Amino acid sequence: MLGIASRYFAGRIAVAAAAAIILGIVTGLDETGHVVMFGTIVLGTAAAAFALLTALALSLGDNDSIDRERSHSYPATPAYWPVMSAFGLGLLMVGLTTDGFIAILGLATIITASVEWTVSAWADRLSKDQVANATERDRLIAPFEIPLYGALSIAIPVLLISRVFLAASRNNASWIALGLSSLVLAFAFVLYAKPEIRRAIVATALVAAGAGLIVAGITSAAIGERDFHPHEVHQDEDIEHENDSEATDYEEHSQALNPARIVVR
Amino acid sequence: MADNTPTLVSGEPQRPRAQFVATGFAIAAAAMMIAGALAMYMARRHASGIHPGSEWLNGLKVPNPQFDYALLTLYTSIVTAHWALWASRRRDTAHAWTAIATTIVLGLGFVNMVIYSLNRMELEIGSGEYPNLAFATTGLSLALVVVGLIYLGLMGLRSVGGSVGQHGSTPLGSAVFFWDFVAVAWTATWYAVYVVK
Repeated sequence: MLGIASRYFAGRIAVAAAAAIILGIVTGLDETGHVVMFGTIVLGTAAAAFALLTALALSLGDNDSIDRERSHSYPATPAYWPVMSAFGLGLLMVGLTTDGFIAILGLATIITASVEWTVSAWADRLSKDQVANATERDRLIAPFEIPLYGALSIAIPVLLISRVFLAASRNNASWIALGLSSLVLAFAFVLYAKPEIRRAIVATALVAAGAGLIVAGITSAAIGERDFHPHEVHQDEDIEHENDSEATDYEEHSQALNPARIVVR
Repeated sequence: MADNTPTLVSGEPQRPRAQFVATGFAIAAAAMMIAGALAMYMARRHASGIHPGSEWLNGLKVPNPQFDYALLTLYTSIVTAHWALWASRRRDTAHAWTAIATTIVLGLGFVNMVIYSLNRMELEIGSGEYPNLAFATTGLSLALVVVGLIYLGLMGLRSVGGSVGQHGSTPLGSAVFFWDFVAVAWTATWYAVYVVK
């Protein structure tokens, strides 16, 4: 006996095919032929798509009731991969309109999240023991996760801090570097002196520092790098452009005064 | 009085090939996308003048050999994809992984050949209706190819994780099913845009 899905899709085939035929025959290829062509192709393809779904329903036996009580459902472990995928998609969209490098970062994020999500989905259905599932998942993916996230945990802070340094003035960048390294040293000293400190406090401090770093890095990137003025080099180049012979004299004179000075040609 | 009613073990309820069915729905949706794009292309071509197609290409030349070889590459990758599924169902993991890797390499080669062909045609977006629609339809088909490659890669990863055998190969079978559809979608695009033009 035909199941619900088979009958439903078979009806859809009939409707779509009839609509395509009527549209093609009744209206004909007159001056609005291109509109008819469009409609006929779309309706014909819809009939073909419903035929595919009907064939699937028939071949997989949709007349058998399939776990409608959800008695065979597996508990899924909460995961961040959907959020990571959405973030990657956002990065990709921003990158496609601004900078190719950001688009590549977005694509890499989406691919990484997809792989992680797939492996998590696979592991969740191994058994109803979530601990055993997590162990099996780690066995497969941890050799890739640890080096990847280890490298990212170094590269991303370095990138963000470099944006801050490049946006600040030369002196301020030095002070910021001193301040940050002093903070890290003080935090490490507190951890050493008070090993019994609650993990929640440490985690909160680290998350706050990470969030601050992200905000500072993005803000600094939006502000842009400070202006760099290599005055001496430009002066030499200007003189060289004005008069070659004069520049030669200047170069010789400069070298006589300061032999270590570099002249850029 | 003891209850002597025999208890029958009912066994686990079956959820046969849920991913396969979901892939079928995705294919149906993608087929409608492709049909919409190609129908728009053909409708605009039909409306382009009294003799449709005469001025349509605007002097552009289609490099047929490159597109033909790209199509052959895609068809070859279908064979290797089914080879992977065949091996996976028989738990022949060495052959399955080799075939998955070969399929992905052939798919990347196909994408490369199509992009090369487009560059050789010197198609320029905004230079006319044909280039715009050709870019849109070809881009949609290429996007489906890329999605198919990612799907194959991810399901290949699951087979590396041990998802093989007659029942365990369903995820890979779903990816191969989608890959078959990708080949059909590209064939329709190629025939409409680069053969009929």
